Amino acid sequence: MRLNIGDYEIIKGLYYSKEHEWVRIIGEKTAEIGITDYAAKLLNDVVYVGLPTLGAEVKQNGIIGSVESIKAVSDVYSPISGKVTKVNENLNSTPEIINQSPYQDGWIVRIIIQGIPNELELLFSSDRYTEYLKNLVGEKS
Amino acid sequence: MSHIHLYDYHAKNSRLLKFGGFDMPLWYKGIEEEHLAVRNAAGLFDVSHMGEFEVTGLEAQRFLQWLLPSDINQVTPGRGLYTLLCNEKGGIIDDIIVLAREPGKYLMIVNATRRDADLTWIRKHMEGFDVELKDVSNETALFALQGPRAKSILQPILDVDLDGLKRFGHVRASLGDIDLEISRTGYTGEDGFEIFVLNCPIESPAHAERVWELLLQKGRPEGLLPCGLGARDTLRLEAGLCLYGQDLNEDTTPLEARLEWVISWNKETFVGKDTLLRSKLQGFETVKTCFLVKTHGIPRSGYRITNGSENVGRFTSGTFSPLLRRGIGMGYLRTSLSTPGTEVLVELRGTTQPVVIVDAPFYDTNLYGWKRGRRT
Repeated sequence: MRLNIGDYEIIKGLYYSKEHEWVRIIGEKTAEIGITDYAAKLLNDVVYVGLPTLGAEVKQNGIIGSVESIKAVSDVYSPISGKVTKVNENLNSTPEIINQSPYQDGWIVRIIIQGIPNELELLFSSDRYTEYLKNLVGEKS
Repeated sequence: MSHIHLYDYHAKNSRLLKFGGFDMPLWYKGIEEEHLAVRNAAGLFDVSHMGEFEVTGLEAQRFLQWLLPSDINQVTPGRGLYTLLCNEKGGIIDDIIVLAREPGKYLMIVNATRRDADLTWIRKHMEGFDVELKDVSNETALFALQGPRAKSILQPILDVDLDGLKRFGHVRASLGDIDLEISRTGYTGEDGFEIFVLNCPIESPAHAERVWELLLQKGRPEGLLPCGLGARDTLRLEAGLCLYGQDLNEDTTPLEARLEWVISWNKETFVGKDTLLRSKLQGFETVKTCFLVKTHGIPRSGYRITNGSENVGRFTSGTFSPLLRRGIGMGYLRTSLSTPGTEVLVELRGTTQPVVIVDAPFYDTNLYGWKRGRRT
């Protein structure tokens, strides 16, 4: 299910970070990570995505990649600890799918979850991220 | 924080960026789309944050001949030039455009971020000259209409012949009761015009609003888009043009910045001549160089350039080129390495990528830019 705050879409059932990454649990120990519609729209035209190497291990809030628009570069922080098992290689040739489909085709990495169990509890639910975004967007206008 | 004339329009229609003390449009639809509109059709930029100074008086010409490194005596009424304000050490205080209006009357267009510094600098040197300086920035709106369709959009609404206007030429025009000055100048590499809406105070912006709306309306069928500072930056970088504050500052000289062509060495004297001449004879360590990333990644201002073992330079500007679909940039490189074709390395966010030195502009000048389609 989709929620909307202004122009920004949020997907129910995902976990969200303060830095506007999302986590989708896709298996007992596997998670998919990307950036939110808000982050993608803030960057505008994404023209390059820096991907990690396979097997790289990352701690919660550690840098797992970068997303660059024409104007700016933004680090992608891993919302949970894990080991990179897959990267979205489509982003090498068509980075713009991050703008077109931030929650589906524009996923960035898949990891094997290695963190302590309560790491997910430190993240926002979709409802709480919606509130967070509401405040953020409200503040700016 | 000051507002420009069309602040309300931009606040409603664009993502804003604070630049030089002004809320400016960064983009309306997106940097890439706006960039390509200018290369393929036309774009309209609000650059009213730029400063405009009137320099007038019996000795205005003699004053500018001393203040500027260029030969202002060659600039006859109706013509203009790109030049620099340099300090005694040859460092660049600002890069500017000077338009000669009539004998003893000049209009100087300066960077928004340098308005105060320039005023102070010019005033300091006016003593002893019969010359007056008037800052008309707050009574002037400035729009840049750029791209291959610029002329065909502008011509039908004006009472002057634009074919007769050469690059850096300028002319007065009117649109009903609106006073305009049109110069064939720009900061994109494309053909285009800069449209000054004169006698238009920021507090009563009606004239500026009418010109902006009219240009958008006439341009839309031709593919014109309103463009923000984001596209202005990618366009000027593709064209190899410097941005003051990034690629130029008071510690860089015109020689290092490859702007020696603005200097008239024949002039008996001008501010900074002695130091610049010494530097020309002695040589200089680093020189402004344009780089194309061979692999992937986007260079940004401050990124280091190495030859594999030691630092040999630094990027001062960088972006993704919407035309080349690659990272491009400019910076200062050890002079001995600066030959086009040479490869060096950039430290790019934890990786090292090869970059090749190229001549500006970055694009094929047969296909893009104001010289396109010309037989040479």
